[in-house]
Amino acid sequence: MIVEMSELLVSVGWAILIALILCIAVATVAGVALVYVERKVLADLQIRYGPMKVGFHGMLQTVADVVKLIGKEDTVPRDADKVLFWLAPIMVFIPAVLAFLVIPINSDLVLLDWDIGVYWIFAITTITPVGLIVAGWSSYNKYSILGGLRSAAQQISYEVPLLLSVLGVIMLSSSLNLSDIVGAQQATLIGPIHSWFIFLQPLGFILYLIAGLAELNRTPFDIPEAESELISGYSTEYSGMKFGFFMLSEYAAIVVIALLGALMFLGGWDGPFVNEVPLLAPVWLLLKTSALLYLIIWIRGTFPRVRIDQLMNLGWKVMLPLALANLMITGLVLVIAPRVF
Amino acid sequence: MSPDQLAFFILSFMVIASGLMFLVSKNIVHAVLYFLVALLATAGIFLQLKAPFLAATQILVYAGAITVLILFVVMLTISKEPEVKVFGQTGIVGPAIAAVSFFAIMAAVVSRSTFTPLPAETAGIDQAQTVAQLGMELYVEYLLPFEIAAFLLLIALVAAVYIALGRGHDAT
Repeated sequence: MIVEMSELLVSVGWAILIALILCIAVATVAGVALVYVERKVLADLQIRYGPMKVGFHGMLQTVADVVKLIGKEDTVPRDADKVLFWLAPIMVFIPAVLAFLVIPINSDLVLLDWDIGVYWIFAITTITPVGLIVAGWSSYNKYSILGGLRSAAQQISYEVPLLLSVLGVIMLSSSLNLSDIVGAQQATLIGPIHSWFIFLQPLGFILYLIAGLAELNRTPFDIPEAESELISGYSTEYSGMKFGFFMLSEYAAIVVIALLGALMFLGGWDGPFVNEVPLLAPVWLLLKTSALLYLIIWIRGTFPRVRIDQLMNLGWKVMLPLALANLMITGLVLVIAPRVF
Repeated sequence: MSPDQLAFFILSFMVIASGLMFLVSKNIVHAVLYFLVALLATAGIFLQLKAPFLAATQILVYAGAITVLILFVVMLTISKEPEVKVFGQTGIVGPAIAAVSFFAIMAAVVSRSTFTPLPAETAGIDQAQTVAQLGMELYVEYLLPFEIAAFLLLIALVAAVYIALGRGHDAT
């Protein structure tokens, strides 16, 4: 019996382990690559070169930075809650990694073909603010606590419009599964244009982008970090690879939001010649994701930070009513003219 | 013991152990985090019961939103020392009565249930494909209870906003 059990455990365990390792690898590579891309794009926007020394055009700069972070002394504040201080980066990193579980690359390549797809991503990423609060609190530093609390307030406020903006897409495709959502966008709309949800749900897409930026604590909503007032907020006391984990999860989360946007609004892997050459599918997806990533970095290079009261007003008094209106209109159209879609 | 059973025992142990730690922990932030572990382990049990939607909802609503809210309140109300005495503040009589009566109710319910095993057809259910079925049950079969629950939540929401506005805003 023990042998039988251990065999089963081993096979199930291997599957889980491989899936997790794949997720961590994807999140890490995507995060590290995005840091480099962001530095280059920001440099370009500010008419300078950015990293140039390490590798061709500085391509190995972030790899060198990771090595530096690993080698750095790992300091812990004397009055910190040692265990929680150690746990917080992991609590932030795990949700960002687990989100990759349900993201498909093409119509049949996905780690976990779950019906709840999108829902899983939004559910698992709600744990992130807990990690941020814990990071802030365990640091025993007033700036850190303020940063952690701000991030929690912000993420809770913007989860609502984020979910509502996506609901329109889910209603149109009548599925939570990301592969089905992409499949629903391959009908012909007008001429060569496919029914990508950005055309059917333009308001939903804009709301998704804004709420996504706020959810990611990105400029112009990077209030929780606010270098000039909070000295990086919740991560003030962190150094070395613990800080690296915060960075990594942040950038992995950006990739997740961009990937989701490409899958739900930009037709996913749908594109010219994709039916003739199936290998093009991941390429189209990557191109669309990169376009969204560029947009996100571009916004960082362009806009100043909003104030926290402006942020709350925008979230509750503008975005929420707009998202609800979008939802009602979608529902009405679906009831009156269900044949159109 | 099958891997399923083993996973169930591990998860149940996590729920009970972290529930106990939640009670005896003197540091209120630690208590909330033990509570979080209990909630996540419960989500794991839901996953085992082939209910991924329920598991995700458990994570979204309880592990995510509720835990953050509790932490938020803790951070805003406790200014200096996070250590609080959980026991001995209100005496032992009131909590004891509450605990005993709750235990009696639960014992009565549990002793009456027959614990029938899941019907055979559920064994064939694909864990990945339950959302559509759940939607049909919720919005067609049990629409009225669903709507009543939604209305109740709306009332709570409006009441919360009213309380939050305070007396000065009565006129508006």
